[in-house]
Amino acid sequence: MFLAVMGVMAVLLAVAGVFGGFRAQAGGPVAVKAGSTVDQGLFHVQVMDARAGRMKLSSFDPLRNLLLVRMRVTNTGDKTFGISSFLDGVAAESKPGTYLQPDFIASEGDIDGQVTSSIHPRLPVTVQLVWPLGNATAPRTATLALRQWDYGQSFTTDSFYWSVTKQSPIKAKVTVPVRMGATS
Amino acid sequence: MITLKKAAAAVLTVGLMAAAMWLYTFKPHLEDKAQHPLMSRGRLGAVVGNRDFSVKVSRVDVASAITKPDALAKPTVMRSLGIFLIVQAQIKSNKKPFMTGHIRLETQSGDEYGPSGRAAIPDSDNEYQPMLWGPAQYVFEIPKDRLAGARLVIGSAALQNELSAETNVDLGLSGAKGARLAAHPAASYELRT
Repeated sequence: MFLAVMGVMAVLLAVAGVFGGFRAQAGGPVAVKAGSTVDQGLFHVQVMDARAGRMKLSSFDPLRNLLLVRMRVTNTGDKTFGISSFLDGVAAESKPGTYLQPDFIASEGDIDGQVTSSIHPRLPVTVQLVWPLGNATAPRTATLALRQWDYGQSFTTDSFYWSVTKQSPIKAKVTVPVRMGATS
Repeated sequence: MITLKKAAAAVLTVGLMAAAMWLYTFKPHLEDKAQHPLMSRGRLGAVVGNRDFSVKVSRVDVASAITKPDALAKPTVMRSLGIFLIVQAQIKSNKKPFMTGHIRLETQSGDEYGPSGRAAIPDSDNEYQPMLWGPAQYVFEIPKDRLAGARLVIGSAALQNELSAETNVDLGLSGAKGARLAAHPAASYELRT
């Protein structure tokens, strides 16, 4: 009897192992270094660099104190998304628990030095995200929260789509050193 | 014997439970498309239409860069990591002033590419009058392997309902022609301004 019970236990353990075992699933945001690729679900994001200081984004702009972060973004979905949709899934964490959205107007997409407003499937775009710093001194490092995009069916229609909100869970936090100065 | 039977039953039970949990991770991807617009299909060069509007695609160009001339400075050259697909079309309304919308390129793989989004490429005027053919130019930017079999879809800018109309035009890029154009796109396409 004892042997039979032990045998059953062994088989149960084997079955549990086949179906993924008792290992806990990773929870919460993963801390990532700049340069490694983060999978947000819809987008693959690689944080490239950050710089801060008083600068003009274009020749007609006033001189402003800004934080600029560049990311290489690849759309892995099957539809074109706007740069502004991508911005919804990114925030800067100025202090623990405080998330700041990037500036919609000043942030832009860029392919080979030319401005673009769209991220097409499987065509990588460099997105420059801008945060106005006001009178604050520029931080030495910037922490960026990349949220998880969710794929699901609409409540009122039968269409499937990707979405992200400010309540979406944070997939990864990327810390990137901030260089001082306006030139890239 | 009874112990063995019980053991077998226990293993089977756990196996079935695990299988049920595994099956639960699958979610059906069902779309009845009841709210999709009514699609009229046609091909390059032919008039494709419905009661609201008609479309005739006259020309398709494929290039790896787009040049925008500038009267005062050097021309702007936009290079693509993939290719640019430039579609020239004529559009007319059939009832009342009509605004085009939901313009996209449908690839054979089922992906949908919106217009390029490049700031330097002007959007074409999207209002058309009854009984008058007006020109339209659409620029798409796609990876090279998405060119073959691509189709242009044009809809209405108005709020969609169950009787909204769309036209779906085969751009004649299937098979050998698409493969040839993807492999050897024009070096540059010059925008007319």
